Amino acid sequence: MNPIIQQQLALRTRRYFLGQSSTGLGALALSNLIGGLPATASTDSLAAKVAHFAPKAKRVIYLHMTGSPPNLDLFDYKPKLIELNGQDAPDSVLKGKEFAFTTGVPKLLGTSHKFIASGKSGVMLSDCLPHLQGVADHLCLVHSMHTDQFNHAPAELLVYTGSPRSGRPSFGSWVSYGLGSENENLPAFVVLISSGVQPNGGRSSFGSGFLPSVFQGVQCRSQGDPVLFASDPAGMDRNLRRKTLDTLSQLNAIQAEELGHPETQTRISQYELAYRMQTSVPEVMDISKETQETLDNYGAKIGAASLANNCLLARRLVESGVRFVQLFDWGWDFHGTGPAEDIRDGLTKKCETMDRPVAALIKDLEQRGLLHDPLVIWGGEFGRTPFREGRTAVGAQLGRDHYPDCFTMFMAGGGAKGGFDYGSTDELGFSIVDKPVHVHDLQATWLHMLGFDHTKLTYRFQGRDYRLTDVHGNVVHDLIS
Amino acid sequence: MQTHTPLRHFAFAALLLYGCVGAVASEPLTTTTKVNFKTDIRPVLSNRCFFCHGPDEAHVESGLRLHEFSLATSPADSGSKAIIPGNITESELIRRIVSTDESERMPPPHIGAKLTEREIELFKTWVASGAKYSKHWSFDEIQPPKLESANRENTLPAWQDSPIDFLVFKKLRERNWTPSPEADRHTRLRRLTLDLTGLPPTLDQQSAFQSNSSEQAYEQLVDELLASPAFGEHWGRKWLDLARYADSAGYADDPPRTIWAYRDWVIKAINDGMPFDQFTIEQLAGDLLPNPTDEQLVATAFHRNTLTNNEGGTNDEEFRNVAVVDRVNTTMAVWMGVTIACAQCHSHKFDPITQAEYFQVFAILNQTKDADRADESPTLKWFTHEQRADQEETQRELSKVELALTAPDETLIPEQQSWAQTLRDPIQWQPAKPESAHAKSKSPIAIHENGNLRVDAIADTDTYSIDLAIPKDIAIDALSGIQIRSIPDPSLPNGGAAVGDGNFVLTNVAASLISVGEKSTTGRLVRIDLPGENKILSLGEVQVFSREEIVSKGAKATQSSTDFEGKAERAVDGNTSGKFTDNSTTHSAASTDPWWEVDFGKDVSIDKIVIWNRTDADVGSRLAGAKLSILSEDRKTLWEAILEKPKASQSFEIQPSIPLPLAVANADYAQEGFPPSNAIDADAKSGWAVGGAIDQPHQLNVAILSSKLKELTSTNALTGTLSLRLTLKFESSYRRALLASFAISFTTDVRAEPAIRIPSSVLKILSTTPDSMSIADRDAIHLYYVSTIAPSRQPLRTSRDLRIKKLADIKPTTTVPILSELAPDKQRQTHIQIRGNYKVKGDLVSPDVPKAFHAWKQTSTDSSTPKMDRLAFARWLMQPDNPLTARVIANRYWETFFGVGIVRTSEEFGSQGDLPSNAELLDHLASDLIRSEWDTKRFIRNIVLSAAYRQRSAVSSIRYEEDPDNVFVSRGPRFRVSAEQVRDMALTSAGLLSQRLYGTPARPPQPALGLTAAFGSKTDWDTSKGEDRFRRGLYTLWRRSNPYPSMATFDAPNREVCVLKRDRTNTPLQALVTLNDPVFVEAAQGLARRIVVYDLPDGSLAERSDRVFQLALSRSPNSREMEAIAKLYHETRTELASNLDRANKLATDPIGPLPANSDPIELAVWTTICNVILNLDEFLMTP
Repeated sequence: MNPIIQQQLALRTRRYFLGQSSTGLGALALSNLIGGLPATASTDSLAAKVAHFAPKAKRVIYLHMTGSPPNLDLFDYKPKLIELNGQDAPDSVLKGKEFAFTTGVPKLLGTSHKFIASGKSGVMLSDCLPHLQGVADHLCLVHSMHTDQFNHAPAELLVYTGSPRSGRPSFGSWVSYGLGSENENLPAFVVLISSGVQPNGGRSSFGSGFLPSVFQGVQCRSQGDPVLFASDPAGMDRNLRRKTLDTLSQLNAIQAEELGHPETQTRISQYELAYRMQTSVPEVMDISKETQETLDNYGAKIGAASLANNCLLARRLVESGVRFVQLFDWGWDFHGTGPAEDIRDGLTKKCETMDRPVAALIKDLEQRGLLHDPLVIWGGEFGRTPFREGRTAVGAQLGRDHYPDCFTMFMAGGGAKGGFDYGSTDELGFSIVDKPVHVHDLQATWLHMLGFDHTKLTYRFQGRDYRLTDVHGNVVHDLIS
Repeated sequence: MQTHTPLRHFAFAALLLYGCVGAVASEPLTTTTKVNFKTDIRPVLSNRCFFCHGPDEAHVESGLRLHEFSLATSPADSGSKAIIPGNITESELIRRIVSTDESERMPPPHIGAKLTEREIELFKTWVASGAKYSKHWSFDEIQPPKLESANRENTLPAWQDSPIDFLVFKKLRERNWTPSPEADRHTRLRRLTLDLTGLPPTLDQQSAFQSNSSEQAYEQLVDELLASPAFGEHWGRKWLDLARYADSAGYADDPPRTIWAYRDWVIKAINDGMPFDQFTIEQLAGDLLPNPTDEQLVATAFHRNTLTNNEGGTNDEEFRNVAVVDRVNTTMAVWMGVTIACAQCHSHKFDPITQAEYFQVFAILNQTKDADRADESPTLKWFTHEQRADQEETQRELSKVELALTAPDETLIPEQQSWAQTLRDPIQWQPAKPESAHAKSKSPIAIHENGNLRVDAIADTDTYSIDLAIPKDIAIDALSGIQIRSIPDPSLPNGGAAVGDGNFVLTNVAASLISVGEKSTTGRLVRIDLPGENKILSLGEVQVFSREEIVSKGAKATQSSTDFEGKAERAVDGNTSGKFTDNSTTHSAASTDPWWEVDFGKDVSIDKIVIWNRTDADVGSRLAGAKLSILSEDRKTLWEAILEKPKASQSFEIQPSIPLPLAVANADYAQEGFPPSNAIDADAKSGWAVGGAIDQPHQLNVAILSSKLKELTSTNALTGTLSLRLTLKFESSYRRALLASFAISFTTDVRAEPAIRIPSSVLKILSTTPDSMSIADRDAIHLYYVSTIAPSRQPLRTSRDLRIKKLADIKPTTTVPILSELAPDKQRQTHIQIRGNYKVKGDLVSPDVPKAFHAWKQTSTDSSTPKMDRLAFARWLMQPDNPLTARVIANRYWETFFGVGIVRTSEEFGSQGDLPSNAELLDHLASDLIRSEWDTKRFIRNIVLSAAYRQRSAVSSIRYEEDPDNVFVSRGPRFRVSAEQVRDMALTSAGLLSQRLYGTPARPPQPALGLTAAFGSKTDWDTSKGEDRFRRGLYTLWRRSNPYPSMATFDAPNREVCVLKRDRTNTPLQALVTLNDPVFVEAAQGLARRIVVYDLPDGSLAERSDRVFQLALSRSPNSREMEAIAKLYHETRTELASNLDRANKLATDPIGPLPANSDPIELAVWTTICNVILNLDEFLMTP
């Protein structure tokens, strides 16, 4: 059989299978996933699909701390570094290395934060994170992360697209490509941005690259239209909009009859979906229906564009069946070039805006019995140096430079082991001494948790099969419960 | 939902079809089966075997490689031969592919499924018949089919004229299919206009075409459209995707980039019908052509569209390397249709391209000067044609004026002689008496009794400050010149007047009148300005002393803006700490020209000001360039100083003074490149020097602008005894080029300024007696007089000056980054980069093209000794024996018109790409393109004139299932238009679209997102005013990090990398754009006004409906459509009639106030209807 026709037909008849035969759907979905979807895929490709094997997690909430938080002040406790604070960094750890803003011999910088053994599991967490300490037993901390990139944009693109250059599909679009959506009235992949600044990788961090654009992240906003152009024109009410859509469908149907192109039918249904989204998106984005207690738990305020609001929205979105919720929060680039970037008070203040809502999100999901379902991921794009940043070495603020060799990320829910420390760094935090995990390894693990063999979730583009993990990645099974 | 029913039927039919197609496919082969290596064997080898047994020498299993005959027939590691030609039973390959033993079977079960029975049969037949290999089909030479009339038999009459048609027909006949009938007139008109210009036909075009009964009507229309400027815009847009053109530089901060001159070049080249080979060569190597024109240089911006990374801490070499990689990949993808990107890291798995060959191509493109710099250098200043014509014209006029100005004129000799007489006697210089002299370096300066100065110079650079007494009998405003005399001394190095090697560079001379003894200025405010963009003004403390009292403390302080709570009062709080954390330093926002000031509320006498800077975080240098000033109550500047090199604290003594306006300088001698004018220009580093004659005494004469001085002294009376303070700076980059022995003179001679203006050579002649002058001297004097002095020629001089100014005033319209080759001695060496890492270098490679492709024909025109550079490379791409470029380009055109290419993977012609659906047609088109010398307009013309293109697009459900994408062209093309077209078409229907071509990018309305690019600027923009609001989509400012939202929703790429093929998705977000985006609401309002108010003020519902259809869909509505519109009209009218407020909004927001005497309800109703029409599937699709 002509494979082109087969794929086209598979796509165009998916709704039929959805109604008639679950085995048919599974088989077809799988064959499409392995073979790659054609570029002309319609939104039917967003219909819910079946993964390669039984998944641990069904969806993702990814919290990105843009700029990269200082792991040594939050998660990776180094008493020896504190002891040697202010001494020259040893030659052995600097040799052959490049840093973004540091040259010469910098001074070691121990943290001024107190670490506390938290929860029953006793994972060590800094005093910047009092609320996360409260949910410590849900956290799966990977201390041995490493990356190849030490500038923001390429490092962030590596985390989200598996490549430091733009042009590849993002993690969220791979997941929506692989799993589709479970809510016909909402986008499969939603992006929320707080602190007013775009991610380093720009829209590429949530773009669909060469995947069809139905798989790209849809940015929702807490001010103005929650989805671009969701508001009807001034003077047009819902009733009139309905009338116009009825006329539109009627005229389109005449055209479909005349020319016989199924694409016209698809367009009719897309307009109906758009009409439903106009109501459903503002509804899910409206947090005013939440109880005051819930708002307080998150620290959310109606009308704000904060990380707290976005964490609460993330819960509402996954509850409604959204497959992938991506949050970006700007302001974690702790160089020490200003008071807000000081790893003492500055970090404590920044963490106040993150610690409470993230902990509240985990608790809220748990209390609603949902924590098994979404995989919550928290992290930056690289680590920060165990020494004081070069440019600000004589200033009043304490800051750290970019550092690709080790950093911490954590996960919660979705089948990640709770209260779990994985991997370790040396006593000064310069290199990994146990169980290194490259960004590609973690990506492979995430996909595995979602039910995918990362080597088989591919898409053919310009004659090559591409995948999120490029040609790398090993699943870290130890992280999965 | 109702619409499910047909879909179910459709699906059912599809299931039946699976069975049929499957049955056909698995039919056993007959013994007469013919095997075609290219189409039957090689694709299977490539897809199923090459990953382990192919071209990548680093990854070969069992010593077996199957991509070449000689390798496949040699013994593998096991000793057995995979292929023994003619011998099926002993060929290991056959044994393995048929094996049922999972441990033996190839491909292994974990790699892939067993070959199909049909594939196995084909392999057997192939081996049995000798296992002949041939090149991958697309790498092999183009074989145009023979177009004999016999071939046209059995073809429909209308399909016999064009080779395109009977080649398409031949394929259809093979499937027993018949083509569709010709589309009706309005459909053909709409399709053609949309495809050639991107715009729907105007009413005029519609009626002209409908009423043209000539047989050539369609052909005439084609020619008309090919000649319209909109053609170049529409087709240029497509090329800009390949060129990854954008108006920003990319990466995190994504700063603006000025490169739109390139976009305009593309539009113009396409409109001019530039042959594609020239189009190629100018873009890839225009700079290497002999005497390249500005246009040819602009063309090279094609490869300057790569990203540059300006993020702090990034390595320029790393990202320059990334840009070259992008150029290699883009060039190969655009012209050769082959992805070689993977060969950057390892040899190609499927195509015979090695990693070394990849870097040989890299080496060709690795020699340009650009290097990921923030300023995008090298750039070209771009003048428009009009500007260049203007420049040339002005230059011609200037030459003419100059000729007239310098023409000798005997009649002027008498006045010349009386002028010369006045200058015969030299200017009388009077030695000045220094009262005191200081060096900034604290080098001691001795003052001799005769007034000579002697510096015991200890520093590398220095500034001398010398106060000279002014004799009582001289009026201060009578000073007309100052002279600095170097006095050589044998005891100084090389017998000169300087230290160091004996030469000096006097970089600046300044003079002022100072009021001796006065040490204060009376003023009301003290202010600090920090000029520049993105500046932060941060102060620890400002202390203003009146006698010994600090009058600033607690006075009223204000500043331009405040960030981080660094209020203005912190600089007058009495705490001089410069640490921000002590809460005692001010902090403005990062802004343009921030300022801080303190107001004492009354005039105070100010003796001294001390500025305390920031001392933490190494940010003290932020204050560099700040201007400290004392202002009067009415804000006149009374005194000012510049903080050039800010320190932790800096004290300024205030002394009233008047700077002397210096007019011109000359000298008896100057070293080449160090003219005397350097000493009074604004450049702090340039100066006057005397190299070549250091052991001679020299004089620098500086004239004072007398008129200006008189004005200054009259408005700015100084009291007390006055002195002349002379400041001499030696701040060149030459160490110790300092005057050590010199004296100062001054003059009140009124002839000083005119005399100093005269070049010393002329002045010297003038000082001789007329009789002793040589003829040459006389001519020189005459020339100087007539051109510079003669009053009767003043109009000519004015005319000359005007033209010089005019030339200077013709500023480049824009700049554009261009390619520029490094000089031969600066060329880079290229190494293989191991695993694609630019820091890990492998073997050195030299520029060359991969062997798998056609051979390079060296031509003597490239250079005397042919060498593989960019120009040779570009010519290699366009060699007539290159089978790829012509196929790739022809296929891309086909894809543009028919929605799908003859090779479906239009981006990949290598082993991993699809086979052509009609190989003969592709080769016919490719060879036609070469034969026509790359005349692309002619090529397009042939396609749109074909019967294949003119078919009706309607399709039966059975045919749709058989060929959903119309690969075999059994019907007319129908697919969604591009993002830009959606916009352009809506605006055209509404009569709003601007017709203007070219120019700066436009900023049409877009929703404010309130976001900032990482480390960059705001993503929102101020909407363009007037016509720019309605320009075609291709002129929209293209920011890579934040593409224009409505166009991105319709699959416009961000253009970070070359985009060979856009998606054509169909999503609900697109529906929201065309329903609700204010741009489209405005279009609906514009269309409504057009029919209700302007075109058909008395039109009936039917007439207006008809017109809306004509304008938006290029046809009249049928009765059912008319009915649907009428129903919506009446219902909406009823609803809005009772709600005037809503009607008003619908009719005016955002387009603007109602036209005079218009009915808001009628306009609102038609806005609603037009909103529907502009959202029809038919509107968004080619017909």
